[in-house]
Amino acid sequence: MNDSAGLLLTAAQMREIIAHCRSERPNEACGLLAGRGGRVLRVYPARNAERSPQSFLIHPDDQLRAMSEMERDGLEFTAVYHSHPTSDAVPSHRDIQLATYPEALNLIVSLKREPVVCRAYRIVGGHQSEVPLAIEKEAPDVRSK
Amino acid sequence: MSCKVRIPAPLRRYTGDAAELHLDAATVGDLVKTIEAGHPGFAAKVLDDKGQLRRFINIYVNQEDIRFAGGLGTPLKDGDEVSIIPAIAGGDTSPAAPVDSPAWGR
Repeated sequence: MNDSAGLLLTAAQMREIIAHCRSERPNEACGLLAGRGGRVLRVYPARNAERSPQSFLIHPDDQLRAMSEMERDGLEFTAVYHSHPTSDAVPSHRDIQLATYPEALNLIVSLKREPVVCRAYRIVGGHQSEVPLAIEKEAPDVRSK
Repeated sequence: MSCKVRIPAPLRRYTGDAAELHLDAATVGDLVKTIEAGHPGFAAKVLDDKGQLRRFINIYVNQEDIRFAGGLGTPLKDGDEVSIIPAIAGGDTSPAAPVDSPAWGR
């Protein structure tokens, strides 16, 4: 767990996440991010089992598949991402109440207006604090471990 | 009938930080009881007051969700891999219905 560092994604990863969030609108989109030391190396879009504009539940089959792959490949569970189709990129009461993996950061994509707003948070023990979100241009080579 | 049980980070505080356990059990329900015997308090994080699987806990035997198999009565055989997976959920606004707060949090 990187307490001080934030979340580092490539521009391509960020585009993929935003495209996924847009494609699921009006429902919330969700997914997992895997990497090392806060740097995202893989994006796992997941199905929202609740198919709701106001809530998400990562489909457990997708969660199991992603987490098994992370374990197999020695990657950390870096973050959970989800969209807020009509509200700001701020954790909701439900986001905070249901945050269960303290090692994972939370990336929220607000589609409320253009351009979209993305912010990252650490949510532990019912408390949330914003962490830096950085976007870099070049994609790291995921295969070279 | 030894099974490999994968314990996710949110539940490791209840298993002495063990990420993986190797246990003998005939069913998933027996497996939870066996873990509870060695790690008191674990079962309450996985099962509700009625002894049913908590809403925000998923258990898989290999790649199969036990809710679509035999539930806690799902039989185990030698070499099975059991994954206990707390769900990941949240949302834009608070739902109208009360949220079943996960017992493993806080």
